[in-house]
Amino acid sequence: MAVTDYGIKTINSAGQTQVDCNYITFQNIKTSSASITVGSQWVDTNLTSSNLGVSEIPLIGLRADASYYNCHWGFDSASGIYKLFKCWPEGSFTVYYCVFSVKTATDESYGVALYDSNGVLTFNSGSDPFKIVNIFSDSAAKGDTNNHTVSDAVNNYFILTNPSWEIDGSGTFLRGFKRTSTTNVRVSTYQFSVVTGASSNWENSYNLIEIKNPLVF
Amino acid sequence: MGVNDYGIKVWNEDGELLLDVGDTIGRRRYTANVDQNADGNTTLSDISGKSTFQFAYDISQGLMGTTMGHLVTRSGTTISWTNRSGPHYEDSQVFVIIYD
Repeated sequence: MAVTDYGIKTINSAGQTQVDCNYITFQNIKTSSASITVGSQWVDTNLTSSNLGVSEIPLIGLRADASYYNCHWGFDSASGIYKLFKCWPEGSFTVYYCVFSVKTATDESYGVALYDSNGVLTFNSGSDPFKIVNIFSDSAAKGDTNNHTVSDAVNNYFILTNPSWEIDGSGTFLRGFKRTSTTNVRVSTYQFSVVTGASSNWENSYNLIEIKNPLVF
Repeated sequence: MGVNDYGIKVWNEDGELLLDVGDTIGRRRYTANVDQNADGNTTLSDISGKSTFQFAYDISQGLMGTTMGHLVTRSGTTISWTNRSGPHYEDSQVFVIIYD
């Protein structure tokens, strides 16, 4: 039996499939915060293999700080699980983050659980699914600034793809995001440090994904 | 038919609305762990006419420097990943998130 004729799926008011028995839904497994200081550093989610899964790499959403730019670059795989993610904050502040991953088992006896044709859990009502509020596809060369009108710049979380940096002899410059009002998130270049030399790893295109603030149980 | 009589709502056991009829939900269509020296692509025929976004995380081991993951692009139903043009690139996890 083909996957497409198995199980049920839900359709939203725009006609988009929300959850079904084909693809695994990302669901929230943690929301938390951490103190970070200027520079490149790891943030430890303190997740374990029991709630993250050994080989699963989660999605990380960050809230936009009101004062400093920040961006997320990736994960440290050295510990065997992907519990450390890397930030490049412009200044020192408390970063609020949320973690979405795939769940292998439902954690409640209440509500809805969907499985694919192989018996793999694709959605359950035990935690909030990954809700996309907006996706902004844009381009910003070094020094460019883009303002994006979002639904909730304070409480929602964001993924900024294609991190970029450039050293031009006067400093190291990165692309990040911060909020400038309750409904505006600014993507722009910020200076990280003064480093001699010149090298670049800059990609103009990016996506800024706004994620709805998940319910926390 | 109005929005209010369309779709399905799901509540959790605390009575909080988990899934509403207007929500757009991101699901995992494709992931791949790709080597830092490898460009590649894959064809996902089922995403034809569907909305996705795609990107990569750097998954280096313990490196604090300016390493970064691959650039991921979509053309039709083909997803491609390439090393970034700069001097520091790393192994990546490629994600394709489908929301349609």
